[in-house]
Amino acid sequence: MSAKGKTWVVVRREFLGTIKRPSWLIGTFGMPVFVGLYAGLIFLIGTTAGKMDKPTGKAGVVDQAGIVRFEKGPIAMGDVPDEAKQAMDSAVAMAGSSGQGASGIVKRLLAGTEFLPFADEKTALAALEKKEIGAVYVIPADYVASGKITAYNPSESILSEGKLAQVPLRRLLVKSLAADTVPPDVVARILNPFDIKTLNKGKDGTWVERGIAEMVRRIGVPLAFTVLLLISIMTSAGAMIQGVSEEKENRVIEVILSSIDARSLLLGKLLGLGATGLLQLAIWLTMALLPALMLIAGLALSPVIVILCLAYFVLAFLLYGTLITATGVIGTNAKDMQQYGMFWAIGAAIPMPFIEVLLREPNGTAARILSYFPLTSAVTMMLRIGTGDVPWWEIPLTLGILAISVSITIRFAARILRTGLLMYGKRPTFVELFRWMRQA
Amino acid sequence: MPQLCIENVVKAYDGKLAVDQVSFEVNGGEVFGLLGPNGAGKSTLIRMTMDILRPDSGRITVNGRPSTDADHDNVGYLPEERGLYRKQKVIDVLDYFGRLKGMTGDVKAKAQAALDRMGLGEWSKKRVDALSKGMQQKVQIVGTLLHDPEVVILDEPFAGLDPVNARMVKDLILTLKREGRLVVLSTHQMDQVEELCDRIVMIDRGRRVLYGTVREIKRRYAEEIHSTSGRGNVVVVDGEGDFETLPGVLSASSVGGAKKLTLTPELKPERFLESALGAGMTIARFEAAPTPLEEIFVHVVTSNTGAAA
Repeated sequence: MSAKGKTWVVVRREFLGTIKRPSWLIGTFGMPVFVGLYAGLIFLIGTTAGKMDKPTGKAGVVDQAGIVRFEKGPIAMGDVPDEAKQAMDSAVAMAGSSGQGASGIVKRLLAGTEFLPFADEKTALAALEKKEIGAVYVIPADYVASGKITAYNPSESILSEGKLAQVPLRRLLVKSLAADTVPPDVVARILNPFDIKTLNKGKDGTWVERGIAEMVRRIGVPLAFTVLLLISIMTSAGAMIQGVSEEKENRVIEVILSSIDARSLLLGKLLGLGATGLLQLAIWLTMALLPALMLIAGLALSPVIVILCLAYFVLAFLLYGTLITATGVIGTNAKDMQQYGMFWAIGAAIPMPFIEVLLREPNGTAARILSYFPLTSAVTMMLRIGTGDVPWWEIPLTLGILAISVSITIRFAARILRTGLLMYGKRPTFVELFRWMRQA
Repeated sequence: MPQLCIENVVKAYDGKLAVDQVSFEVNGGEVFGLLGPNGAGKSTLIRMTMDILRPDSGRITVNGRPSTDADHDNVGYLPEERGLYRKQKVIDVLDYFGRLKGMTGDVKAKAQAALDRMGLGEWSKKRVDALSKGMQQKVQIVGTLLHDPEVVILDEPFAGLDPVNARMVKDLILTLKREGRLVVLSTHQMDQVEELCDRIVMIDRGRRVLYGTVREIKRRYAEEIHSTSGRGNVVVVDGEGDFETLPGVLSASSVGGAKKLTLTPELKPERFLESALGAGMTIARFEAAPTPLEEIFVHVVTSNTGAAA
């Protein structure tokens, strides 16, 4: 039988063997259930918290200094920029559909606080006892000189009415103090000094405005792929190492290597386990279809980006899977092997701390270096493609670099695999590793 | 008929020669013994034959040409270090091994039939780790032969087997030979070698020290062993008389009702028989015991002066 045919025998066995394993089934079908339970728990806590502390949206003020100009209706937390207002509205819509606990707090934040005047502390505290108001503030006669006020706040929580009303109270006092001496438009500027608009240098050298929200929407899909890639590398490569270490410890490997060459074996295992990883993702997405759709609806989802991301995903998986396995084989037992192999997983995450630089300068030097370096190429390119500014030729170039790296890595890894798997109980030196790689 | 040819094969690890200029030839229809002390280079040699390792120099050919993937599918290999997937069903492991050797179609049915023949039929659906060591050994042998290979390489096939199962495996090897297959048998059990092998090669410290038919080697080494050890032929005599008092007898012991006598190196068995009869002793049975292969093995290894045979 040809080497290709045998590779498929390995693919089939690794795939079927893995998905029949109880641990895989529990992980695959249990994960969405677990996440669901976790979300349910948060929902439950949110709801009960909301019931215990129902917001009134009102606070009492005892104005002994006689300076407060009371206004009708609630005073907001601040002047919210349009972008943020949209985001908060959609957040309220999502939270509103799931429960009152979280939405109550968000609505409360957006609604602000209405301040009601009280003649003295006694009547104000009585109203507080009856829960007509959520907090009481006493402004003493010497307030203008001392700046001191007293708050009666029944709860210590940072989300209590007493705490939440402090920002609107600050605005109320600024307006009251400035009322007769400062023109109204200046008061507005004191309350909200600037509304910023940032210009970035575009690829043609001109200055363009680029909203952060727009950026986040565009890189949503690539970012999701990046996270999934990291998870897949960790889990599937972990399974790979476990399988290989079992074969090494069981000594099955000698029988296997007498039937199939190391390169075909490695490729078969990578493809088989990679397929289980993709199947797992498909199952998770299906089980979490509704929330996923909600998420994707808000994201820019282009088929080209998804296909490119898949291509980078598969190549990066093959590269890391090979490296992790080859390194893992050096270990003398399963635990060792896991530890050595996982060293590489760190490499995949290298671009993550640079994410801000990559988004700000998607065609900068740092972005280019990380794109052409095989270990960081996939993650960097997925993020850069999301920004929409990558020159087209960089895509085939980086895919090519990755494909060549994969093919070279598999060839050398197969040599290490062949020698390393047959060597029991002894850890090789770097010189020996180098020699293995050179051996035909 | 298959033919395996090893020509001047050299393999070094870290500059140390594991196999040094070894050559031999094995043909279909014979059981060939690959012998040598631990660490002699047997496993390296077998792995090179299986193409798991590549020789540094020299040639390994199957049927006159370098081995191909198709040739690998035609080899059954029982490694010294046994290996089965412990947590899987016996039948699934055999199915995988068979398919890796290029089998197609209903491999499981063939595996089941083979298990039935080995008396393991009802264990096929059990997990490997539920089987005894001897049963696992038999499963491994089934896996080695499942794809009907023409070339069979068996490394210590009797390890862990009780006498009944050892007999079974021995019969199996003789059947393979009768069917014209090429069998390479590597073992430390010299009685098995004497019983099964037509020809042997012996490796020590990577070099070939013995090569030829078992008979020829025994004849060649008998005299050498006698001259170096100062002890000659061993004869077994059953009869009446004080045989041990005859000239040229070095030592005596009883075996059953008979006497086992070690003679001086110069004294030939037939001369001893003549002198016993001449002394008027009655002899019911007389046997010149050949030098056991084990003794040759020990002699060659302990006195290996580096003279390659």
